[in-house]
Amino acid sequence: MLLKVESLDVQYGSAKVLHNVSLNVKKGELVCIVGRNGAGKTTLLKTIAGFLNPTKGKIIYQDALINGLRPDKVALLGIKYVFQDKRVFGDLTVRDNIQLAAYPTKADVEQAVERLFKISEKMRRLIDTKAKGLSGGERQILLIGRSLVGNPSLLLIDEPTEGLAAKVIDEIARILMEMKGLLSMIIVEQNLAIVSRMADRVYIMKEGSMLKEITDREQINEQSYIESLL
Amino acid sequence: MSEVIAYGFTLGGILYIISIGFSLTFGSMRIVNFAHGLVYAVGAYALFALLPVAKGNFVIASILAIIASLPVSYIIEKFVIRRLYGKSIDYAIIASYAVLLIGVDLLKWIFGASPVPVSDPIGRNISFMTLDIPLYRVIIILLSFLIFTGLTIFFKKTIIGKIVIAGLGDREAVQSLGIDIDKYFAIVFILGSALASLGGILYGPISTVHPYMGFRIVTLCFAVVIIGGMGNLRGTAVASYSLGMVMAITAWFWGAAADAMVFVVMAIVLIFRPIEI
Amino acid sequence: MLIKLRHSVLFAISCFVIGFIVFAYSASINKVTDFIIFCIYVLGFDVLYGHMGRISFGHTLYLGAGAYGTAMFAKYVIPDPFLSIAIGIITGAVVGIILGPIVVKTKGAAFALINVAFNQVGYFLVLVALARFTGGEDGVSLSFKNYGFINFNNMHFLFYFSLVSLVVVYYLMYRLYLSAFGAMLIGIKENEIRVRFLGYNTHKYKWIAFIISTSISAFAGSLYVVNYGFVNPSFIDPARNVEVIFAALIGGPGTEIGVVVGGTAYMVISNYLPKYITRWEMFLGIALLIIAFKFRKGIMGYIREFVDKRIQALKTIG
Repeated sequence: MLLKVESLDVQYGSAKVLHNVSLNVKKGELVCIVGRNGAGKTTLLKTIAGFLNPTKGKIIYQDALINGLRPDKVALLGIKYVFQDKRVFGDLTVRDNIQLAAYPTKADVEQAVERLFKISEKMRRLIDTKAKGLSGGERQILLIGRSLVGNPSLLLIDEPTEGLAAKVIDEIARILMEMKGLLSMIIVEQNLAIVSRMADRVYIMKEGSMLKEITDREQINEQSYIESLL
Repeated sequence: MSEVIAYGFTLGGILYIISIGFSLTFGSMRIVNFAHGLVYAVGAYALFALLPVAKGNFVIASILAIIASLPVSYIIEKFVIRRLYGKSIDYAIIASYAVLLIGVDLLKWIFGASPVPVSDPIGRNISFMTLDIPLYRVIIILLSFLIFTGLTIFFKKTIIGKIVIAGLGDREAVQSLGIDIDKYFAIVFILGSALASLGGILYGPISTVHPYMGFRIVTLCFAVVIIGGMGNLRGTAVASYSLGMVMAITAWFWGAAADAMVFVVMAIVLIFRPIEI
Repeated sequence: MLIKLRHSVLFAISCFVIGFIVFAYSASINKVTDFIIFCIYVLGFDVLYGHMGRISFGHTLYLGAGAYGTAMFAKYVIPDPFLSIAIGIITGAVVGIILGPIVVKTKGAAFALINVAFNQVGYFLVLVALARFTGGEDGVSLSFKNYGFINFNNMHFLFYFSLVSLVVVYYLMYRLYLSAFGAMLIGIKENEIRVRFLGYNTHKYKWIAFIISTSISAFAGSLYVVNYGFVNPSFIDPARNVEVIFAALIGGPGTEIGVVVGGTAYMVISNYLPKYITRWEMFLGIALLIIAFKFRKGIMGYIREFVDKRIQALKTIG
């Protein structure tokens, strides 16, 4: 078991936003978390990544307790968080973005850049463009490429296809499918069609709690079933 | 008139050197660091105290003075800023104000409440086309351009500079890459403080060195940052030189109004471009 | 019974009224009048700090606006005390109305210093630009008309007038904070975005709160002028802002009684401490530092915690 989250409670000020949440991820698995807005999905990812501290519960990664570690320390352990809203370092170029990602892991920048091109050829002509000039889909690709630098074991990806056109969504989905098996991923997604395509398992969250875990392949493929549970 | 413009560039240059650190701290940590004014004052006073030690050599005394001010800024960063800024910005502001208060009183205690004299180290003028201005001021202008160029290169080309730029825009994303952004903000803080003390050293000979100079400079810095934008390098430069010009021109007509005019300009800018922080 | 007392505004008011009277007659009536007026000033400051969560580092602008408004009216129009005070309050309100739209859009660091910058402009106007009218560095001295027993030159009358003013302002603030408007301010302090999403124009409310704050501070300024019989730039000096910030912090921001306690505490410290410690300004800075790190709830905050714990203990027994 690569990651085990046990009975997590998280508070925002005086409000409890996560209540007794548990999940786990095996090596090479792609797990999706679905739920309505406000269900606590982003909060869960942020807590695993170290941006929030749980008031109760445990986060165990590679058999070590990682509760309360600073986010940069968590990242160095091999867990990379890809933020919502396609936040790139706008004033820096695409190459600079990759360079920053390579810096703490002492990875080779040129190799990382080549890997970005392998994911998507069109990044080649954008390599020296300021990131703020990229489209939504291009930013998401950059973010994914950035997160792969340093060979992480676990990616936490928050709503990668949000706000993108159908063709671009397909491209992102293809990229994620190609990464499957090479590393583990927890992906928060609202697009159920994509979830059905990608997920090995699905977790459903509702109002700050883990409602259900779906492991059955047929049930995962049944979008309407998942929808009915939300 | 051309002397006034030259003086405007001089003032603008000094303002830039002092404000850039203030702007970066403001942009990275969202704190108004009142103690920035203290490091500035310490620079000026250290110069005054070390000139005899350096046997009157201004350059050596300046370098010693900057070195002397580094521990002050380090202590402020480590024991006040870092402890408070993540958790409570309001209290960080109050704490930095308290540090300035304590520091000012210490300076008053050691050096007395009256201004101390620091004179123009060169004392000669330079004639250039229609201008006849002190060579010292020309050097200040050149120095400020040098620093501006140096900082631009630093932030565009070095990895630390890029990390800071990224961090100014999105702190969490930088952390998610595995970079301890606070460490880099601390480096920037010390760099900015060193520049502040340099500003105090440079400004000393052409204005008065007195214990309350720190308070005055902080409010001027604030006007620069409001107009130029927090953490915005080019904006800070433009605002500094513009306000320097405003001060020089105002001083020519009505000496005492120079400072206040800066705030009037700031108020006008705020009316037309209200900021939301 | 303890619970009722703890929440009773009447109890709080009676406490400090009696306290001030005892203090005045045992120490110095003039001095205590000063303390009382300072408390009014801090109440004005606390509208923004304790209740809206914004620290202003330039509040002497409004104190000075009231002071100079009063003084100029008394000197150049009629030295009638009531009219002059009224004009002083109006001056403060006008400044609040004009500066409000610019200032209230900011918060945190920017808010703190925008007030400083305007304070500097005000100081300059009084000291230099309008020195012809304001008397510049020397200020002006005034004497007010009196009407029989309403004699502002009589220190007993001044004392009671100020005390009554404090009670009135205190009670008004108490009602204000309990009202819907007060709830709105708390909402803005805690989570302004959410309040805006609920459809409220938060800027309007902030503006009104700002005007209330400046008017009360101006009222204090007017009272000072009437009390002393003169005005000078120290009333509007930006360097004196630390006094009101310290007072609000030490007493416990956000509670009216905390403000009164803090204001009195500061006045006592600044009046009696310099006799024993020459470097008392440094002491003030160090005290501020300690408060910022460890002592944030202020005196009243800790007293309340203590009382609440007692109440809890009594409840579990009963």
